[in-house]
Amino acid sequence: MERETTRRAVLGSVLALGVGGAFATEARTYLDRFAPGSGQVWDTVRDDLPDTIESPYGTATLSYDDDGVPRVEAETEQALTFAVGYAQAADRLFQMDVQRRQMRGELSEVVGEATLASDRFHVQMDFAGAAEASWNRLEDSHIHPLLTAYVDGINHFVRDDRPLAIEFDLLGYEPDPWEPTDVLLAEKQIGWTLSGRFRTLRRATVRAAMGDEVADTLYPSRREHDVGVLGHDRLERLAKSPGDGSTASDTNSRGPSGAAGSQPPHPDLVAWLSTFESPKGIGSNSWVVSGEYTASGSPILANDPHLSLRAPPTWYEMSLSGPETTVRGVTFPGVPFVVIGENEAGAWGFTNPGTDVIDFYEYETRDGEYRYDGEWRAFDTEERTVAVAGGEDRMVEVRKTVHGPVIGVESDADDLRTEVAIAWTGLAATRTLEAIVDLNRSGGLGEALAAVRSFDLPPQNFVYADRAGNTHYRVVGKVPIRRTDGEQVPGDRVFDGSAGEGTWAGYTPYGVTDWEGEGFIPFEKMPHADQPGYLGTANQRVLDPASDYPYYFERPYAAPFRAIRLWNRLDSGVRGEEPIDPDFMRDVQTDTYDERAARFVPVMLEARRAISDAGVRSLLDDLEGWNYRMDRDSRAALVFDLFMRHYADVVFGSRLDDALGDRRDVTEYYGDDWTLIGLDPDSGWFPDGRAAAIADAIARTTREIDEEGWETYGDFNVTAIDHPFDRSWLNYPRYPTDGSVATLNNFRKRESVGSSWRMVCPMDEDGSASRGAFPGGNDGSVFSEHYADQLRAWADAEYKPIPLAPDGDVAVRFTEGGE
Amino acid sequence: MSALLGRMNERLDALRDTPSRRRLGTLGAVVVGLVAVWAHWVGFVLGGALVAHLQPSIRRGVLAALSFGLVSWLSFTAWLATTGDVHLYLGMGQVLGVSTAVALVGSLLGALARGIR
Repeated sequence: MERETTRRAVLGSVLALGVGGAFATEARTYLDRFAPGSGQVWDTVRDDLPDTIESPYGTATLSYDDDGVPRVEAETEQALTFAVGYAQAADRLFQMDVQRRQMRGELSEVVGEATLASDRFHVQMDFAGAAEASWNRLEDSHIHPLLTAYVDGINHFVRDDRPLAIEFDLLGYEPDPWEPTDVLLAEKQIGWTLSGRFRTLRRATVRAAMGDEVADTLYPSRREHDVGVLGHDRLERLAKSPGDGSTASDTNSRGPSGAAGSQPPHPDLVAWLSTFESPKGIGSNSWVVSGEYTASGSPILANDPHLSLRAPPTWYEMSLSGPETTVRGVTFPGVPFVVIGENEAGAWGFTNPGTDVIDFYEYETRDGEYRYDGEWRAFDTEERTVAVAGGEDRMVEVRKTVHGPVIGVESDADDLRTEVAIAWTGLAATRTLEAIVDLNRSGGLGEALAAVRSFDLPPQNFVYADRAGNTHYRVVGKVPIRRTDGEQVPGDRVFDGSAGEGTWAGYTPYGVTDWEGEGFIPFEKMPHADQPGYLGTANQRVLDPASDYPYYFERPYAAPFRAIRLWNRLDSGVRGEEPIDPDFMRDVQTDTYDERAARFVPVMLEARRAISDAGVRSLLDDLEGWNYRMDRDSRAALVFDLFMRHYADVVFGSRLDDALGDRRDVTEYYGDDWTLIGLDPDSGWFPDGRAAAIADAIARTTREIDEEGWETYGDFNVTAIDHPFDRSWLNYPRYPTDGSVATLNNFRKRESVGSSWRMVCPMDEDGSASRGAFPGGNDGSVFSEHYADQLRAWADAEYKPIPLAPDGDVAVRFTEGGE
Repeated sequence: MSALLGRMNERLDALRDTPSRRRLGTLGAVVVGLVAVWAHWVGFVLGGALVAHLQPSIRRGVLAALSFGLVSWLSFTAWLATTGDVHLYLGMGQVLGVSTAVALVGSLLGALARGIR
């Protein structure tokens, strides 16, 4: 009996302790999150939105098409943006929250110590302060009430006790209410991604360690080619054979100026900052052909921005209809207006130019002060706390000068520069969202141009076409005019801030800047082409080499391989070899011809004689007769793509290793493929001759192919598009695809960068003939049927209709009411 | 109070001793447990305890509770199949492991109640 009682007591205790312990300890969080049925992570499985929602801004409807693309119709513009806020929150809230946390430097609060370096950088840059300045500047703007309504729409979702995305459950936190400055932070993030570059610091490093010649080779101030955006003399080109890349010099991109600062940058500084640059390969294509050359007699516009490919995608597709707005296209989650798209009047696209809108400054310093304008000034200093999940909070010192934030790393007593101040146009109050709203509502070219006057950030190639037959090209964005002692200087060096070098007149970081003043290139003087017959941009040099452009404007940004191919295709169409219709435009957009291969494979085959190993030689044999297309079923494409990476290691790697030492990641300092294949065979880059370098690289390629077991390009070139958590079940499926970094069909697997949106818009219709392709799915919920439903079509270069007003059943009705 | 408990125990014993009534009771306990697990994870403990209590021996109680956990997990998986997410679920690694463990361990924990009386 006693034993029985003891047994019962023990079992009862175990049961009580088990249940009590589950409630009282950390185990409860796991049970609450993951228990089958009741766990929070399952909340969003079959999560239907409510049928009706009260909106204080008026009635609206939200419907979804077969691809999960929202269509919002509203009786007022504010009701429109309120509903857009709700829809974006329903589909992408976690992505939006991560973006704002990243820009505010608050990732560690939910992720832990792994993101401390990121938080320190973003806090020191004080992007949040810049966003606040931009919001303040919009106080009297017509978009102020729109952003307010948008934020209310997001917060309605957040506060409505709607199930949160699984990522919130996995990290165990809930989002804070949205603020209007968060929308401006999205603008800053986009701007930084597209124009925040530390090339100047890397150039200074190479120059200090290896001299001017090497620095000029790896970071040229000009590129010799004739495929610039402007100055493409079609009559002259038409007389030449296609593919002729004869050279012309770039007169604007002046050589490096003066001394490049007194000290080379510290390796840790450059390595740290490089982490926060956009990934290699970021770029875009866009082109427009006027009715003069199209089969229909109306213009056609095409655009495909090459941004990070990720799950969920960088872009959010949507269709909007309000009293003043009828537009369809893509936006960044967190932005309520269409950034790239089409409205009833016309269509527009953006690509990145090499326009330089960032500068670096060093100073004479003494205790807490820096010398500027003949006097010692105290740094504007503030301590900020970075909260860390599962760790101690950290204090980050934010220091600013008249030029902007001071970014630095801990010194280890090296005689190296450990900090610089940064001036970047995005750190001032910018009005880009205002420009985007006006562009959405524009009724033709005149209004579109008026809209982009306030497109302050980032600098972009703006390509436009409308249904009235107009075509236009212009670089938009504010570009500083650097002056030292009143004279214009290029921004290709670290300036001596104490000596007043590289001043931007009227620039006030974190405040109102006089964008129309003498410190910036006037809108009218920005490079442009009105009514071009046809024009293509692929991140190549903008300026016409023959022009005498009066301002320092750009640095080489992307190798011009895509530009060469684009102009060649457009030229052939204009010559009448192919009818220029939407099919032609889509064929150009998905073109896989690799100009690198066309130029360098003959050199590789020539070097075959220097290779004794039969196995290695056989790999080069695979390149014989190749059509230079980076197609998934091509063996030659596989060999060439892998070869190019190994060849860069062989040519650049060893020499940079010797010169820069093991404290730097030398791959960050490599020249691009244009530089690589254009190197003089007799130069110091080939101590044993170019043929030997090719032989070495092809031997490495052979080993890699053997180890990996790849047969064709598609075995390697798959859609490796991942979620930030990098869990296989959150990552997108792997599909073989085509294209490379140098092809118009742009895909760079290693960096997961590529055509993040494809759009072809003929202007002879009401938008019903436009087509698009999207690399993933519009819904960020892994349980949604629209999580990755468009990926395979994108990988196969297929398009879908993107009408201005897509069909779809109403999912949510917004009724007037609420606060 | 003790009289009430006594009557309940008598009825429980009668239920356990009659196979048809036991099976029916077990079925009812499973239904109650399944409803409970969709409301809260403690439902696994409750369901495991209920089905275990109806079994004639502790060993069979433990087996029944474990079976309940398995049925609960299968019913959850079946629900995911109806939404088209079962393949995703089976590939969720740690999430799959933890959620499965919750169902089985929770039910087994409930089975301990069978030994208290």
